[in-house]
Amino acid sequence: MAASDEFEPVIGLEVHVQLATRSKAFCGAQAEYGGPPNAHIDPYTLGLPGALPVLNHRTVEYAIRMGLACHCDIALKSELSRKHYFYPDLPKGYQISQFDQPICQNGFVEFMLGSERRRVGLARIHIEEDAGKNLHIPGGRTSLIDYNRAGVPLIEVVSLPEISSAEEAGEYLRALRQLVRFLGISDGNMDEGSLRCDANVSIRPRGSRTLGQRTELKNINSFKYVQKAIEHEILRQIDIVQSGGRVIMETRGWDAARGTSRSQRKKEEAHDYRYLPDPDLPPLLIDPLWLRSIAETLPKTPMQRRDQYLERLGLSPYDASVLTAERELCEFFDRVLIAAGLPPEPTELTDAQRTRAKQSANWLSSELLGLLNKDNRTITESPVSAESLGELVRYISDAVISGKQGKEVFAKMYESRETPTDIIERLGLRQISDPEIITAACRKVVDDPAMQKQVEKYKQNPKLLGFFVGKALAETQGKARPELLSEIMLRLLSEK
Amino acid sequence: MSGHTPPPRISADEIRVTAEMARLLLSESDIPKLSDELSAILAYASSLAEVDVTDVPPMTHAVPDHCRLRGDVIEPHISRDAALRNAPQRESAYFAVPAVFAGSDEGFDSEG
Repeated sequence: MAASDEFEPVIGLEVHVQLATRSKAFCGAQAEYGGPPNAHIDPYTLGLPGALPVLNHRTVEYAIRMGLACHCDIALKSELSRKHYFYPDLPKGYQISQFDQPICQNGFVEFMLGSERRRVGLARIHIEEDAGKNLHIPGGRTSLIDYNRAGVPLIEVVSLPEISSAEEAGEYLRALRQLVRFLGISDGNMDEGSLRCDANVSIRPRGSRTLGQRTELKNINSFKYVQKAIEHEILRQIDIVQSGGRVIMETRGWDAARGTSRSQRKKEEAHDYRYLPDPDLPPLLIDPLWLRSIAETLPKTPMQRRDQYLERLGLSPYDASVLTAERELCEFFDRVLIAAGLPPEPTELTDAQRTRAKQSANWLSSELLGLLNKDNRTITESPVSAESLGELVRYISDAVISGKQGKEVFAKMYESRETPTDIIERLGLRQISDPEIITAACRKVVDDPAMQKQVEKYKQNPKLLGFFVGKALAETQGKARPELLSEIMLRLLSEK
Repeated sequence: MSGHTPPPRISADEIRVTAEMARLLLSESDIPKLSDELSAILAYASSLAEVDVTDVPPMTHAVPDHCRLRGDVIEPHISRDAALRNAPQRESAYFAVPAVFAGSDEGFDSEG
């Protein structure tokens, strides 16, 4: 949406990512999503007196992974702080978070906006714990609380106000989801609240350098509504300014059902969270050796994969984005390439190898993914293994079978889970590429006494080559490689 | 820091805001007394401001230690019944509290 000619939006996102640890951030209660209400609880989760927090090392490791993947500065010393507020989902009366010394600062996230490569800067990424869940019964006198989620580790990824459209905000959020999935630190599932997004939105006259008054949009908990909610807020603000009003600082909740937002809290009621370093948690020190080992084992990011596919393999941007949708797909593709006989990274590829890489990408993205999508299966449920698909590409590329036969073999592979080798042998599809065998078949035809009249005719009429090729091909039950056979036939006839 | 001046008095309004944030119900007659007492406490603590700390790094903990980390393992839980036994009010498997955001059924989950 073009907001308007007169105004441009300035957007910053605060994204909470639930980390996929086994246990909670500061205690050993189970962190898994769901479960019967109030089953994943222990004294710390309930904030019982005397229960002390002990930080889960994997929470720290996952936060560092994200920080490294986002090119952040990782603080070797950071601080865990208490953020105070009263709400029934927070039994301790404070949330452990990070305030002035977060574990990651600066950095950026890269993603594609259409065909354009975009970069959005980050202010920080910090560790904190989640709150419990309130169930509000419409019209009821009580609210029900489930503390299963209380204490589950989160990272909050805070962007700079560098996003300039609702569409870009949506792509940024999709990129974050893809990134955390590639890093293996979260399932990024918005429906289950593993990814939650608040947006700071303001508008300013187009071209202006100053920031307008912002509002904070909370509760945008589905990809579908991120763009909608932000677009709505931009238009609401433009409307206010154009009718002579002033945007006030407030928190607004997105109401998906009504497709509108409502004011939840005005500035005057703004909270003072009384942050203070948590007395129960001394400074968090990161051993540089640990940091190095996390960096060395960091999974590749989607953008790194994309660059590799474009530059090393020579794939099209479209294929690159299809194949980088999920980490499992990239890993499958890597195995296809190895099975197809390509050298692993970082060896540079020859032109022939790049052609084979493109063939592999095509077989994967159009043939295999096509069938999987049709059957509602993911790549991990594929009846065709990466090794089999790579083998098939190799057979075609080495001209053991033709491309057309390849499709036939592939269909059987998908149906029966057999390897291409087994299918090719069973159906006797193997093409003959041995020049000796082909020469023998050709000789049999041209030396046949019954053929001599045709041979004489050929000398006047070279168009008869096809006739001899057909005869020789029949001698091989149609299995000889046609190009090779006609090449040999041509030579034998010219020697006559 | 030398030449330090005592902090200004804690005003009645500051007392009201602080009480509100701490969810304390004060009567108007409590306020002057609290204002006196808190101002005195602050004046006493502000004597710390006389110490020259130019080259001293900020210290957040009295014990020179760092944060110990635990393995990501699941440890014993407490049973739901044990947890709910002390709840002022429960409803089946849930803790029940007076309705938050009366008149609103929105999922205004948390501040964080």
